[in-house]
Amino acid sequence: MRIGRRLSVAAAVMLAAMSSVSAATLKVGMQDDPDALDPALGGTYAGRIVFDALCDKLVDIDANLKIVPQLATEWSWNDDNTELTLKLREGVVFHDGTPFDANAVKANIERMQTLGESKRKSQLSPIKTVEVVDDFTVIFKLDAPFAPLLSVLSDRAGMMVSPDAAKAAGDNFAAAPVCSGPYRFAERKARDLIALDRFADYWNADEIGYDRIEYLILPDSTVRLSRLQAGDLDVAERVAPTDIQAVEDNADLALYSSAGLGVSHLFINQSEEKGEDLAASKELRQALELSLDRTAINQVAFNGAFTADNQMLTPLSSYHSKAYPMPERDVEKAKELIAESGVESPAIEITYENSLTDGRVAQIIQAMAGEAGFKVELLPLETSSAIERYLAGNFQLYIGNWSGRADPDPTLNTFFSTEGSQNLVGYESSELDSVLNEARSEVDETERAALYEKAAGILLEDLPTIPLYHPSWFYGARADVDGISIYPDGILRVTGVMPKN
Amino acid sequence: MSTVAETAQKSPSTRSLAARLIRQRSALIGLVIVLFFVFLALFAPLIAPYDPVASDWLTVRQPPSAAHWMGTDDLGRDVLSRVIYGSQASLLAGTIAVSIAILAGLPLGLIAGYFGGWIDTVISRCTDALLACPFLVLAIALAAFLGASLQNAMIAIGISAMPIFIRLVRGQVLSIKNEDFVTAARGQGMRDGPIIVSHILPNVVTPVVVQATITMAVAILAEASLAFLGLGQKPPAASWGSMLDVARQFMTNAPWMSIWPGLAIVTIVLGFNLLGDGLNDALNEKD
Amino acid sequence: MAMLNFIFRRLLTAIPTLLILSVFVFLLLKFLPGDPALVLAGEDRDPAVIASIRARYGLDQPLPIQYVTWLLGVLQGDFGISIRTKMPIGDMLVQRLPVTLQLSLQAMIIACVIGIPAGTIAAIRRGKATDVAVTTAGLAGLSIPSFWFGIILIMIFAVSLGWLPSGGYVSFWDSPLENLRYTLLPSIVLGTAAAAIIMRHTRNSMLSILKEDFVRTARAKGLKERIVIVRHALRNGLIPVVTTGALHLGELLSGAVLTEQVFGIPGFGKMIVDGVFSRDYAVVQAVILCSAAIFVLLSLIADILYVKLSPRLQA
Repeated sequence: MRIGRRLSVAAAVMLAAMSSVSAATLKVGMQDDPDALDPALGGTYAGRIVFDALCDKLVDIDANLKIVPQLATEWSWNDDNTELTLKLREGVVFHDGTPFDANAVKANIERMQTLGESKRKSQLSPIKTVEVVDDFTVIFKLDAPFAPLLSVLSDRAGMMVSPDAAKAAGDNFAAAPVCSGPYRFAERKARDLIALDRFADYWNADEIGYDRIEYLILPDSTVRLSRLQAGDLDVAERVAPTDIQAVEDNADLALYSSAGLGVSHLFINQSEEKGEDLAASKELRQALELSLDRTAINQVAFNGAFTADNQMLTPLSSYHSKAYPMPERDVEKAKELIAESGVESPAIEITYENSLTDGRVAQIIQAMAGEAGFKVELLPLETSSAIERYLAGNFQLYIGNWSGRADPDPTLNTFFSTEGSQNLVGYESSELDSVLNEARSEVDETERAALYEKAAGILLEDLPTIPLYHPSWFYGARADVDGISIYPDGILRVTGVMPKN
Repeated sequence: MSTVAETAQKSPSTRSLAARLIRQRSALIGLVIVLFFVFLALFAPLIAPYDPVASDWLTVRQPPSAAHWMGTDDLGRDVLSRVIYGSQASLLAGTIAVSIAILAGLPLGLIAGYFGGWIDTVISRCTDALLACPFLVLAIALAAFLGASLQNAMIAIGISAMPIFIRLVRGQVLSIKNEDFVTAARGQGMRDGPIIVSHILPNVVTPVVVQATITMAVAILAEASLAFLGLGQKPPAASWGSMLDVARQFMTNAPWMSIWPGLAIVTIVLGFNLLGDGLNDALNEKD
Repeated sequence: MAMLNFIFRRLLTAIPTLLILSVFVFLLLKFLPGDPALVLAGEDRDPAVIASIRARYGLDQPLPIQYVTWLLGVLQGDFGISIRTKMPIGDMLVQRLPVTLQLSLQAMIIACVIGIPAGTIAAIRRGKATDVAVTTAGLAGLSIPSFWFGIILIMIFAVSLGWLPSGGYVSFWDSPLENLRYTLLPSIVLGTAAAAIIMRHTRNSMLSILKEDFVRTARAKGLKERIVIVRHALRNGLIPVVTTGALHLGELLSGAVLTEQVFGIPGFGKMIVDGVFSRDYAVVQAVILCSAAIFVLLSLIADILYVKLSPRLQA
C-alpha cells in the first residue's frame, strides 16, 4: 500500500511537472534531421526551419515573395545598381550578449566568403567589399549590378552569427551556434531532437510565444500525423498529401499550406553519348513531354495536392510565364513525333534518388511513356550514388528536385546557363545566356519579367528538361496553436506563433 | 562401395534422411508450403489474374473486391498478382544466396578443417570476425556497397551467410579427419585431394543440406528486409519487401497493401523453417 | 585464478577478431560507391566546398593513413566526428546504446515470460497436440519479419485503436510512463522472435533433463509432478537457457535494426542504417565495431556463466 501511494504521488508530481513544461514548449515534428547548424555550412531544408527560430537574417520574404525588413530596416541601391546601402536595426544583441552592428555584418559576410567549407561562397561572390559607414550603416559594393542580391540575403547567406562566438568556437561553431534569433540553442541529439530556449533579450520579444521549441526528428509522415493527433506534437511538418483530409476533418487540428517554390523536373542529358536518341532528336523530347499527363501524375502520386506545371518557376512567382500554358497529354501526337524521329521504340533510362515519391513518379512516367512507345528503364540509386552520378552528368534522364528560390535567377542560371553550376546535361544556348545575364542586372520588375518570358520560351522549345510539378507545403498543427502562416519557402516562421488562450 | 558403408557410420545418408523426414508430419507440411510457393513462382504468368506491373490510374488504392481479391496498390496494380510474382524474387534470392554461401563456404571449411595450421588460423579468424558482426548489419552494408538490385542483394546475403557454412564444415571435418577410414586411406598413399572428395565430403553433405534449408529461411527474410530498406528488387518488378516499404505509407488509407505481402513472407519462411527443423530432427534421430 | 586466466585469454583472442573486422569494415566502406562529401555539399554542390569537405575529414588521404589515423583515435576512445551531424560519435553512442539496450532488456523479459513456460509445457507434453502447437507457434515467431509485425501492430494499436503511439521515442528520464508507451510495441516485436528462441532452448533442455536420474528419483519419491518440474527439472534445465540467453541479447541487436527503423526509434540499430545510407563512414565503423565488441563480450559472459553454473548440474 505504502509503496503504491508513494508511486502515485510521484506520478502526480511528474504529471504536474510535465504539463507545466509542455504548456510552454512548442513541439515540432520534422521529416529530416538538419545538417550543421551554422548558416555558413547548412545545406538542408530541415536546417532552414531551425534557423528561422535560431538566426535572424538581414531581410526576409513575405507571402508574396516580396523582400521585407528583419535585421536591416531599410535599404537602397545607388544609381548604377552596384552599391547596396543597408540601415541596420538598433538595440539587437546576439545570444551571447554581443551587440549587433555594422562591424558584425562585415565580419559575417567575410566569414561566409572565406570559411573553408562555406556553402555561401558562390552566392555572396558578387559582393566585393563591405564598407562600414557608421555603427548601423553598411554598404555592400559590387562589381556589376546583381538584382538577386536581396533575395540571397533573405536566406542563410543573410543570417548573422555572433562574430565573437564564431571566432572562439572555430570549427565547432555548429555544435552550439550563437545567433540573434528569437530562440537560442539549448541542446541537440543527432537524429532525435534539437531544442531551443526563448531568448529574453530578443528585439521583438513580445512575439515569442513559447519558452522552448523542440524540433523532433520523425522521418515517417504517418508517425508525425499520429503523434499530432495524440497531442504529442504541436506542429507537424510535411503532412503527406494522402493525410490532408484526415487533418482537415479533425476539429482538434488545423491545416496550413502554401504552394511552394520548388520544382521536380525530368532533366534530359544533351550530350550524344549520355543522352543518346533523346539528345539528338527534339521530336523525341517533345514526344516524351506529350506522352505525360502531368495532372494524372499529380493526382496519382500526390492526391492532386501539388501543382502540375510545365515551367521551372513556380506559378506563384511574378516571373512565371503565362504565355506558355501546360500542354494536354496527346499520345497520338507523341506517337507521330516518334515516327518522325525515325527511332523505333526509343529506349530511355530514368535515374533518380531512391525515395518513395520519386519512385512512384518514375513508375508512372514509365507506364505513360510506355503507352506512347518508349521503352523506359528505371535506375533508382541511393542518395549519395545518385548525387555522384548526377554531378558527373552520368545519366540519360534524371528526376531533379530543386527547392527553388524567391528570385528566378538562381534557378534558371544554375541549371541552364552554359556556365551554370548544375548545368550537368551540357545544355548550351547563347541566346538564353544573354537573356539571363540581362535579367540578372535588370532591377526594374516589368523589364525583368519580359526577359524571363523570353527565357521560358527558349527552354520550352529546346526542352533540356521537362518540368513535372511544383510541390506544395502542408503543415498540420494543434488547433490551440495560433499565428502560424506558411510562405512559399515552406519554412515554419515561429515569430508570432503563440498558444491560443 | 566401401566408402558408402563407412560414411554411413558417421551420419545418415541423404536417402535415409529423406525416409525419416517422411515420418515427420510438420516437416511434410513445411515441404508442401515450399512446393506451393515454388509452383506459384514457376507458373506465375499462368496463375496471376493481371500483369503485375500494369498500372491503372482509375483503380488506385482500391480495397479488395471481386475484380481485385487483394485490392490494388498506390499505382493501381493488382496486389494479388504482385504477391504471386513476388514469390519469384523471394525464392530466387533465397536459392542463389544460399548457393553462394555454400559454394564459397564449403571449400573454405574443408581446407581449414583438413589442413589445419596457418591456413586454418587465417580462415577461422576471418570467419570469427565476420560472425561477430550481426548478420543483417553485414548484409545491409554489403548491399549498399554493391548498389540496390535483386542480384546484389543475393550476393550480399550469400556472403553474409558464408561464415556459418565455413564454421559448420570445418567442425565436421575436424571430427572425422582422424577417423580410421581416413587414416587408412592416407596410409594407402591416397593424396589429399581424393581423400577430401571421396571420404570427407560425403560426410559433410548432410549437415550442409540441413543448414542450407534453415539458411533459406534466413536468406528470404533478409531479402525482404533489404528490399524493405530499398536495397532489393528494382521497380516496377514485384518483391514482397519493397511492397511493404510502399504500403507502410498507406497504413491508414490502404491497410490491405500491408497485409498480404507480409503474410506471404511469414508463410514461406515458416515453410522452410518447418522443413529445416524436421530435417534437423531426422538428422539427429538416434538409430 | 583459473577463471581470471580464462577471461584474460579470451579477451586476448578477441583482439585479432576485432582488428580483422575493423579492416574488413574499413575497406568495405571505403569502396562503397557514393561520396559523403557530395551529400554534405548541399543543393548548390559547389566543387570548392566538396574539396574542402574532403580535406577536412581526411577523405583525400591515402587509405592506409586514413585507417591508421582512425584506429589510433579509437584506441584513445575517440571514434571521430560524424560527417553528417558534426557530432562526436562517442557522444552519439552514449545517447543511443542505452535506448537499444532498454528495448533489448524489455524484449528479453517478454521473451522469458512467454518462452520459458511455453517451452516447459511443450517438453512435458512431448509429441502431444500442445507440443505441436507450441513448437509451430515458436517457428512462426521466428518466421515473422520484424518490420511487418511492427507495421501490423502499429495498424492495430496506434492507427485503429489509438492506444499507443505509432512511433518515435521519449527518454525514460523525461517521462517514464511515456517512455513505456513508446517502447512497448517495439519491445513486443523484438521479444517475439526472442521468445521463440528461448522456448526452443527451454524445450530441448527440459527434454534431456526429464530423462535424468535425479528427476526419476524425485518422481519415484512420490513428489508431486508440479514440484518435480519446478523445483528439480526447471532449475537445472534453465542453466543452458540462461547461458545462451546472454548470446541472444546480442542477436536482438540485429533485430533492432529494422524494428527501430519501423518505429522511428533513435537507437543503435537506426544509427547503422542511417550511417550506411548517408555514407557516414566513421559512424558505421564505430557501430559495427561496437556491436562486434558487445557480441564478443556476451559470448564471454555466456561461457563464464556456463562454467560457473554447470557444476551444480551434478548436485
